[in-house]
Amino acid sequence: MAKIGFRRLSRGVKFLIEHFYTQIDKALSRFTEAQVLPEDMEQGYSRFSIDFSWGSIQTDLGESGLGSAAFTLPPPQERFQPDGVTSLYDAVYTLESVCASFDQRAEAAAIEADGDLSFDEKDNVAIKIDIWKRRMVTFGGTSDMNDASLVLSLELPNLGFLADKSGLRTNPQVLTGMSEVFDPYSSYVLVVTAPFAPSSVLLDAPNLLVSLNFKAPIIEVDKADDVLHHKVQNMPQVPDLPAGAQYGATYTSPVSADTPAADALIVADSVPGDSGIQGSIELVDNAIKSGLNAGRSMFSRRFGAEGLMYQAGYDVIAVPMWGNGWFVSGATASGDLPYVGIGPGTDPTCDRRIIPIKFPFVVHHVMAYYNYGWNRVTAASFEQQVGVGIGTGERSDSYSYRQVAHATWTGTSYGANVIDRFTGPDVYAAAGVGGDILNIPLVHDATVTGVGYDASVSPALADQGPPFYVGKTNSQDAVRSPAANTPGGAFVAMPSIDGREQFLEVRWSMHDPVLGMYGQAAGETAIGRGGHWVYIIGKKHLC
Amino acid sequence: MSTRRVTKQQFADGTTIDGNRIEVALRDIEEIADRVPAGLIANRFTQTQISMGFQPVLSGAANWKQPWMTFQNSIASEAENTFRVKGSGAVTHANPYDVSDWSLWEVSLQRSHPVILDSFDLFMVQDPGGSGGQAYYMPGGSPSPYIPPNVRDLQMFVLVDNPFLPEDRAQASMVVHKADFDSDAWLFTPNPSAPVVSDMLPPHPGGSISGWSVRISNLRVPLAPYSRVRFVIAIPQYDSPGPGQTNWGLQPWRTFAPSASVTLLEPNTDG
Repeated sequence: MAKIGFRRLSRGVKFLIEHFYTQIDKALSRFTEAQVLPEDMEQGYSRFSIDFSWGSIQTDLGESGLGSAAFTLPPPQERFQPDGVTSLYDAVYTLESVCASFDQRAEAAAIEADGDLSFDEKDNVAIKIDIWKRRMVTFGGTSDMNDASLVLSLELPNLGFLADKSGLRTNPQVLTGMSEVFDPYSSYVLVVTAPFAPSSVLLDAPNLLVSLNFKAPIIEVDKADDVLHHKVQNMPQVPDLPAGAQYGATYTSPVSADTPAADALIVADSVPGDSGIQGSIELVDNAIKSGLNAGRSMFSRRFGAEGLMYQAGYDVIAVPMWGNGWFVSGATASGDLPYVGIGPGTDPTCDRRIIPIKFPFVVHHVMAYYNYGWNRVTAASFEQQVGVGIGTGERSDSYSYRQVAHATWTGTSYGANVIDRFTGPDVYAAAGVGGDILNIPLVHDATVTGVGYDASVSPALADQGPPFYVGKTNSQDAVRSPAANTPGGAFVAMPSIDGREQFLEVRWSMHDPVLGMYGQAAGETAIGRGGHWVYIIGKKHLC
Repeated sequence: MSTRRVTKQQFADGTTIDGNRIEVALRDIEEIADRVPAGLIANRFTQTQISMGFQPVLSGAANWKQPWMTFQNSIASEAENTFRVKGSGAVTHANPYDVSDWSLWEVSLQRSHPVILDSFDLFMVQDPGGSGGQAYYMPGGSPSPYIPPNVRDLQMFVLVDNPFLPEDRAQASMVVHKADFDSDAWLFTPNPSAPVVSDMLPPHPGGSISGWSVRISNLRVPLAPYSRVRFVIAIPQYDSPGPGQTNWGLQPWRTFAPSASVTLLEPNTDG
């Protein structure tokens, strides 16, 4: 927004109403009516991080342990360009720092595959983090990683892990000063190799955590009744606010100074019809002295009349699925999968993560990364499902869910949801890096859709629901905006959960009733090393 | 009345109101309006949620315990930190000396900017209804419907390394230690036989959810830049027969599928 641009009071100039009261009203308008834009804030950026947590990254003999994850950072739906063509409104995500750590058992030692300390192998402890940038298949890229570019390569050297008790081991460690801008329409492949590969002993990097810390401009909050910003599902109604602001729109309480007549005597103190010099300044002071309100409380409430025009931040929650040493390829499985029964395992299996709902969040996209290394499973009978739901009933005696996103695909129909796929690059060939990024459509009524990827690539990619609000409320705000329960279904009220949301649940199931989980063709991988990922992408609010 | 934040200039009837002072006041207001200081934004934090967890391997690799690591390092002659987490002896259940060892799930992180630790939540999901006959449950739980046994030997820690002796775990600051509590108070549901009112997709083959949901919320712990924070969950291991071993079995890390979540409040930043 333009600067407020006060007029200067030069010596000898006659002091007019415009010199003071008009200027004061400009400031009051900015704070109480027009609202402050991020560019007029000292700190107009919010932070978000993508945190990749692996339970265990183990070496093979002669090879480094390896964890990988591919992701993309699609803008919120109202800014999303389905064809990936950049625009003036594109979001800018700047990587500021990277944190890495693993559980070294508080010793200057390596961790063996069975969890024991190995001081003999401590020279092999090191971590390398690479991030590759790809032009996504959806937007015309190829699946060949030789077309990708390496945008970041960090080595956490061995010496950093060796200090004794009186020294400093860089574990955890945060590396700053990246300033790497990420493109919202590219995909990124994170590859972590750790530790280095001894020839005789299997090593482990347990509880490996890699955090990519970004900043992004503060953005607008979602409004359920605003066509421009699309219809947000499950948005709580706040009945005690003005009608236009009950479903998310910002609301203000405008204040202006009482301006005297043009030829009136200028006074300091307020009098009827004239706020006075002191009184007018106090109006500005009152507007800001307790701080400008913005955002949402943990119960989705406003903090009062709002002084900021934009009150939300971009956010990504990376959810690890099947990530603890599972490697299910062909008839090979590092441990029997739960629920599948005896070999070949024809019953369904499922992993789930639970994420507590703290502060409100609006889901704009859900993505999944199916990590299969070199070869995905191609059997038509092999079915995978990913679902995200809101749950209630925690520490209670009646529980229920509401669907937020869901997709099903098989070994032959998998392409419908794919927005990117790749294998390689060859530098990791021995361990295998490769997989698909899939769009998991949000639920929506058949007649009300959100903004998805370009249908010209795949009609399924355009199947996207409007954003979905996830947040707790008190009883008076329990009424929600209409929400569907399946992609392409119908709006449905669910009194068993509406207004009682407690947690997000993410499920990833696999099932092959014909061949079984361990009956896949040799070399075809259901779960690659390091497991799969689900990304819940959207907006969080200032709090 | 007086102005407190926008300017130091005060005006009152009966005193001079000269142009210079008004100009200063207006410029002060202009500076704030054109670049609102961070301190004048009442709500200038956003949450960051770190999701962690894994599906334990059930049986294929008999000794696959990862990522649970043992608590005591004293078994290694070169070890410097005999005990990795201080305070774990605070548990006062029937006979703490029955515990042969603790298994720790420890995740650490560091931020280059100040943050506020809001929550550390743990979900230990158990669901013995799997049709395949393999599932996550505690041997000491009640069957049909399954309810986990009440235990008092589950612990959660948040520790911050000492800035001067960061590798000496005895010097770490204990920020959070949840211990010696009845797990029955944290049952995911006390009535697992109640059917889900409306399930989500995909259906979970484990059937009704059970286990524990242990939430440590509203902590509001400020963490200085570059603090090294460690989030630790400890479960006991009993090598000798007794109530503890009856409850947890010989491989306690296989009795539940954990999800953990750390919620941080991160301040806005400049461009």
